Amino acid sequence: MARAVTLPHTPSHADAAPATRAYQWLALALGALVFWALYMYSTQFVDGLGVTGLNRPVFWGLYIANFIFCVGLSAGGIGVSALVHLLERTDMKPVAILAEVLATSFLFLAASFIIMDLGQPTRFFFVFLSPNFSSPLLWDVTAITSYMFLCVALLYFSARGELVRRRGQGRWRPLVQLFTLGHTSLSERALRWDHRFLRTLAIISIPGAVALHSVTAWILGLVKGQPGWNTPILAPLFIASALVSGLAGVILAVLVSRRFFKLEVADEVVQSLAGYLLALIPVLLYLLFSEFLTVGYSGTPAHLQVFHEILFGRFARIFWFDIVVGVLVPLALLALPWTRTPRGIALACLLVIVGVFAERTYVLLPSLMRQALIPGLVAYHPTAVEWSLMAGAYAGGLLFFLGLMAFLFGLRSEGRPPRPRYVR
Amino acid sequence: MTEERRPRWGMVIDLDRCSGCQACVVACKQENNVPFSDEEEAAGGREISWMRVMAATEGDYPHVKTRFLPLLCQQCDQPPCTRVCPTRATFQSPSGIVGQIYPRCIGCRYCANACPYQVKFFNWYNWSKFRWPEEMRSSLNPDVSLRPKGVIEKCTFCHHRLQKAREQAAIEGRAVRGEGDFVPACVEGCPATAMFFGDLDDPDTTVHKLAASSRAFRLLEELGTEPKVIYLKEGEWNAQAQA
Repeated sequence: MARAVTLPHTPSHADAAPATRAYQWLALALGALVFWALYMYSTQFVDGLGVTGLNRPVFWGLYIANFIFCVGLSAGGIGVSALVHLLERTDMKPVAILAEVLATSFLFLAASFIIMDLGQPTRFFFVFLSPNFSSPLLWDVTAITSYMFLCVALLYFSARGELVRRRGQGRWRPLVQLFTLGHTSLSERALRWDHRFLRTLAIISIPGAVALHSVTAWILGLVKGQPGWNTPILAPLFIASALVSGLAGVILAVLVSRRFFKLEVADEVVQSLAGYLLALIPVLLYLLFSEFLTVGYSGTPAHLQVFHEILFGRFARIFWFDIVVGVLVPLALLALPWTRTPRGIALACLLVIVGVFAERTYVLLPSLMRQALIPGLVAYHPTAVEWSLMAGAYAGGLLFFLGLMAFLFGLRSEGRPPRPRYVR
Repeated sequence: MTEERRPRWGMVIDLDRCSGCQACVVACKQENNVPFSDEEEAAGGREISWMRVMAATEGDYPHVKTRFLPLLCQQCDQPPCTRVCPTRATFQSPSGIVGQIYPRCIGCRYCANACPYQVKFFNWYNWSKFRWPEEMRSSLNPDVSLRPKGVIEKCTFCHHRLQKAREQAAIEGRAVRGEGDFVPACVEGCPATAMFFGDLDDPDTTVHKLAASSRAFRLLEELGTEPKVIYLKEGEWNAQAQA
């Protein structure tokens, strides 16, 4: 054949344009969503939280469910990165950077959901001016704030060398100078110090991640007036959910990112991460089962009413969706060798993430809808404002993630990525 | 003013005497500048009413009975709401009254979720600024501040009346008496004399004596919140007369 076969790494100008253009269109669409959400938020800011579906007694809704979900995914992501650094898996180095980018994005998202939920957002800093040390919310804000620094520090030391190596020359140089705080040395000594800092930070970040998400669980779990929340299993359940969703998020991000960015992650790495996920999902199922058995067997009326609502009532659809689609299907997809392909793993991860989000809603809401002195159950229907803000927040988070990834790794400008090898 | 002992303000509500007339509800709204809400807002769980009369109807015709329970902030001695507030916007005063500092409230609604009695109310709208009917503005109580949107508000046992009583007592050179110097608006407005108010620790007050009654009970006592609103349950003769 006369015509040459295009090698995967040969840049081809004809293909480069569509890839970049698609990326630009995506960024534009996400940006539009963010602006729409900002507009919707302005109505909430002016008119008050009455524009949402929240009411008495359902004082917390979609925003807080998303907050818990984002904190969880962030904590889980950092867990993955810490494990990579501590286990010294050099083949997983890009995975760690990606996990840190993901964790940072989701931590900022979590903070933004908290701001959205406040009736007086401009008074947020009062938390630091007149703190009440017996409030779990104060400790959560403290944990999130300190964790944000930890996340950014991890990302800095993890990505610094890689960033300088990839982007140190050319037109990106000033930006690299800025992001690395002028520390652009690639000497043996500089890299060794990066590594040392990383190990220390990784060791701190594991108890940090556990603390972060446990405190989030205790916001709900320490409230004695809410029978569905007030259970000691809530913190372990949240930690398990965080690890599962964080790991699934990282795997999904790896699979998507290696198609669009210059990020080389071998299939073996994805397979071993999928193995961890497969081992973690049953823990979640076990904790849920333990909780439901205890409540069902002891039959305390208040608890039972909440759990009846989850298992057979208005939350039954969400609950059974989570159990079947969010837990059992991914478990099968990951366990069966012929579905454990990159595509199957990606699907399993997506389902796991959706399932964990569903879990957040059925943990948060049914307790609020049942009130000791109010007969019957109250309804909560999120409004367009809440859905818009949620969509806009995730669009903004994705934009942040994509932008940071494109800066760190660069777009894969050659049209088609190298064909993934299937390993079973 | 130096006080030997701080009074522990409490309320006793005799359910046997309560006729469910809702005079306490109206009195409270008038006294405390509680914003009005329309039908739709009330149906959506957005109305603010520091005092509510809960009704439960039992039995079938012709033996129907409706029980009433006036529900207000239980003024717990161990309040779950003040514990969880991140900014100390909701607090317990030395005399035991649970209050709310509106300018310090960030509107996170954690206290409202922590309160098992559901007596903390959120300002879902910019009621006081835009929605207060013009003709009603002259009836606003100058002793009670209007609340902006996005903050929690609650019953304060008409704390502004206590302040006035304290000033009066200071003029007369004495301490505030355990009974008779002031009552909250709801107690004042009750036509059936079903509500009593005073210092629970003072052995001479009506509330102290009634609180020792065998009919006395407190709501959700098992949670350990130690409410200072004490109910006297309805007499059994009602049930016997029915049968």
